[in-house]
Amino acid sequence: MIFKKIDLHLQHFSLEDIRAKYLSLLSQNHPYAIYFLSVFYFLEEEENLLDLKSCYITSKGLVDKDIQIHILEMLARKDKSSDLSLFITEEVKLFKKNTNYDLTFFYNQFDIYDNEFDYLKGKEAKLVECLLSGIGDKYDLIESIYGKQSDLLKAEKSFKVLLSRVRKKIHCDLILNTDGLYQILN
Amino acid sequence: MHISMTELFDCNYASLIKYYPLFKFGSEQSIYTKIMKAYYQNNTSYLRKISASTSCEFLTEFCLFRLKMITRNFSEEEIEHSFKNEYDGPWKGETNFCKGLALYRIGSFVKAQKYFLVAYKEYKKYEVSKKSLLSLSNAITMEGNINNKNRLLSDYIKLAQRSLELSAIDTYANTCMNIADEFFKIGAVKLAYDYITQCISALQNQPQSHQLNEAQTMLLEILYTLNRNQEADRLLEELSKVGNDETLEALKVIKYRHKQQRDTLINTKKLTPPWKQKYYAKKIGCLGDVSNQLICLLAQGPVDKDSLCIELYHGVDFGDADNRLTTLISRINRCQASLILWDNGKYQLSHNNSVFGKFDDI
Repeated sequence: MIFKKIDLHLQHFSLEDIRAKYLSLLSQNHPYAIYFLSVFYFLEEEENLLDLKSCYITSKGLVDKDIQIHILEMLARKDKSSDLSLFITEEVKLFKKNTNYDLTFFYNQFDIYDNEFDYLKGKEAKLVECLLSGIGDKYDLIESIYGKQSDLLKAEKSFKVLLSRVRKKIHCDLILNTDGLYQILN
Repeated sequence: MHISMTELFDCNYASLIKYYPLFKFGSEQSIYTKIMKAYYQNNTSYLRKISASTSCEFLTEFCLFRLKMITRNFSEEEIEHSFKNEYDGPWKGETNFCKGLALYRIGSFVKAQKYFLVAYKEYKKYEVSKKSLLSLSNAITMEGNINNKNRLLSDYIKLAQRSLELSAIDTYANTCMNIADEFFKIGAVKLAYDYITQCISALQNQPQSHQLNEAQTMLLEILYTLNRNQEADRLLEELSKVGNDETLEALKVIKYRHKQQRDTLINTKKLTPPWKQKYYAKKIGCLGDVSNQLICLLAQGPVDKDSLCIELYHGVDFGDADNRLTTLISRINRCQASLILWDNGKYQLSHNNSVFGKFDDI
């Protein structure tokens, strides 16, 4: 078998083993070389998170999704201070949309809000995104959507129009206002 | 598989990532690759760490120099006195290249050009072909900085073609960015958009690299100018998370120009020369589609009237096309004073003379 994925939990491979495997595949110009390069950066104890991210991006044009998700998992495990959490969650959303992979690991590690309202754009999407992230107060929502420096009176009017437009586009009962706080039923 | 130092100098960011595991830990190649990766990622803390753990005096100096190139924490004199023990061989190209880049960043363009030309010669001698082309490209770019009026579009287009032939992605991306900037300055914003997107797609496998951030910042300026505000707002949000001073200062300029926001003072010392120019420049108006087409044709050099009429007004009666062309040119010249000139029976862009040959023969 040419390719066998490495169990990231056991990590019983040494950096030297991985290096040797990578060099052998690289000299053959084999597409799976990118996987072993990723494992190398995953195991190497250096500041190389962005190197690993670059490997993941390169892997997208080279190898199948099965390997891509494994590299993304390495990236998530190495990302201790969540510098790349936004990037990773966006990628996970794409996997969810296009594949049937078990993504539990990512859902446990990151705050991933599933957004079934992808067809919304601009401020409409922003409103739904804010509601999904748990913002419920009207003025917090206005600030998130229109910015801190917007004219509050004008922004409040625009917010009302925006809200009714979004309610029409999704389903009018999905956005509730309970005790002065907005919430979305997802 | 063996990668020599000379080959390593020719590597872009993506290749450095690819080849790094090939080198023996602690070897010259390994340390150089680590330094360059950290430099491209703007990782100043890691550069400090590398310099502290490296025993080789020269590589420590090189690492600290690269660090200062990011923080811009040095004077012209300090730059010129760096790397006193002149290293022979391809390292001479590398050190001169660094000095050129550092001098450019602090706005000393004439001296920067001198160092880029030395680097060009040295790299060429050792067949470091991509880096030698990049040095030549930078020397040409300096010509445009020494005299802001120099557009050098025909040179940049030639450079872009040559870099594609050599698969020199960095030089290609750089040149596309220069072309985009020049088109942007004269209001050909749609052309600027085309070139900056070419630049960004060339850099796609270099995530969060300095060069990509620079290109994305330029794209942001273009999007706001084209009134594509939603896309621009999203990109602005993304770029605001970049921890690189130059990008953050450039974003302040964009907010100031397009959103009339002046959150904090803009530190002009941290702005790159193109952004310094934009900070003081007025917002520009966008030229229309046919104007963009005309400028695209003239960017490569002088073109006669008949060829322009055929290209722009294909199928239109010649007399009519002639009239339309004349009107179009006078309209463009009203917006951008004397942009298109009539000389020797041909139309051409003003200040678009080539310096390519002069430097290439060195």
